[in-house]
Amino acid sequence: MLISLLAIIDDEGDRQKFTMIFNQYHIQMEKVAMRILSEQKDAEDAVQNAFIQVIKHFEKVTEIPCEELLFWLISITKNEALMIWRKNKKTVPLEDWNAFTSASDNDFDYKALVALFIRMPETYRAVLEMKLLLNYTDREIAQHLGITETAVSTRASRGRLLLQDLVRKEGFHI
Amino acid sequence: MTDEEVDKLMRRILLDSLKLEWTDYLKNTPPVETSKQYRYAMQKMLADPQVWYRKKTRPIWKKSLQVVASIVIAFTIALGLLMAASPTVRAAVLQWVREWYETHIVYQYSGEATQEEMPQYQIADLPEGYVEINRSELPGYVSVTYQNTEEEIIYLDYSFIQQGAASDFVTDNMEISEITVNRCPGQLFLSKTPEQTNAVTWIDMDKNLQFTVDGFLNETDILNVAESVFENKK
Repeated sequence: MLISLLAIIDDEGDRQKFTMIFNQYHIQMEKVAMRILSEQKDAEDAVQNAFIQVIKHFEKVTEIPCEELLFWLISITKNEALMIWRKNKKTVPLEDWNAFTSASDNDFDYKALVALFIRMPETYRAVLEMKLLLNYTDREIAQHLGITETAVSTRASRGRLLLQDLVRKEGFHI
Repeated sequence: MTDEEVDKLMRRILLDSLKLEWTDYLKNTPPVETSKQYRYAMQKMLADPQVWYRKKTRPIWKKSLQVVASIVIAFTIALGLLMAASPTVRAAVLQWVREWYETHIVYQYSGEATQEEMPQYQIADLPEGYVEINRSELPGYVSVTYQNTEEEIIYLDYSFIQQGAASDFVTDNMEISEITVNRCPGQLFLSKTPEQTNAVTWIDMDKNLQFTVDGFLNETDILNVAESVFENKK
């Protein structure tokens, strides 16, 4: 695994591609980190950590459609920034999945569903983004978020179940 | 709806929620002012992403530095006397100096610059499952990476003791003790937290090299690994 990761930006073409991604998106990534962290140094650390993830998963970057790449990078940066935020905080708010899901009892259209996901408890959304958008393994997610692999899989299952319920109730189509 | 279909829909929703949450904000917010250090780090990253990545992801990372400034060595009177009396001691002492700081230890080298090719060392007594996966060579410095199926890493690094180079060890949350490896003087860095690796470094004056082994190994294992480092001359 590591061999391919480390060799992945070894040739000139990949290096150019990486530079292009940096040039095109670093400003947005810095904005995302700064919005969450407020402190310049913390935001800079978050962006550097995000680029570590970009390099580590560079093979996947090349497969992401151009129109989605910005949001893929936002997701990485946001989650790196939230990790720093959690480390800096002495206490973090408890995440109440039940309170969150009770909001889903109302009638829903697709737009409301998207808005609901924005309000999803932070580590639940982070797990789903890392798993489904970034294709991290459960182990990588657990290490990243400082939770157990069981907690990762619980969060992923709850997210899926919620969506299945809503799909059944509201009849969404893919 | 199959699991695959649920995941596909979920991906779409996650992407759309990111779009909804961030598009306007990114459009309407001015760029962030960044520090000089950050811009420098980014330049380094773009110059060689692979090297930058390795340095950033090493738990206790050790690097060779090209030090332009001259090295100032403070001698104690006793050491000065000893050095005056013994040319051998003088040579050995003058070639490396260890400086302790609050958060790190720096080994400064002052031996003559060497044009020799780097010798090829490896670990003979690797813990079960580890294999060599990478060997990077810079002038005067080699870093060998070993990995097991759990993706746990052991690094073997070594560098020539020569003028203008130095090695830096981060000592945060580390218990440090003096040890010997195959009768060479060295230091053992034992982490106080499970997230950090342990490391051992030693200086072999006969070979003119400083070695370091770094990995998630306990004290006994890391010392065994260090003792088993050998030169592969084939």
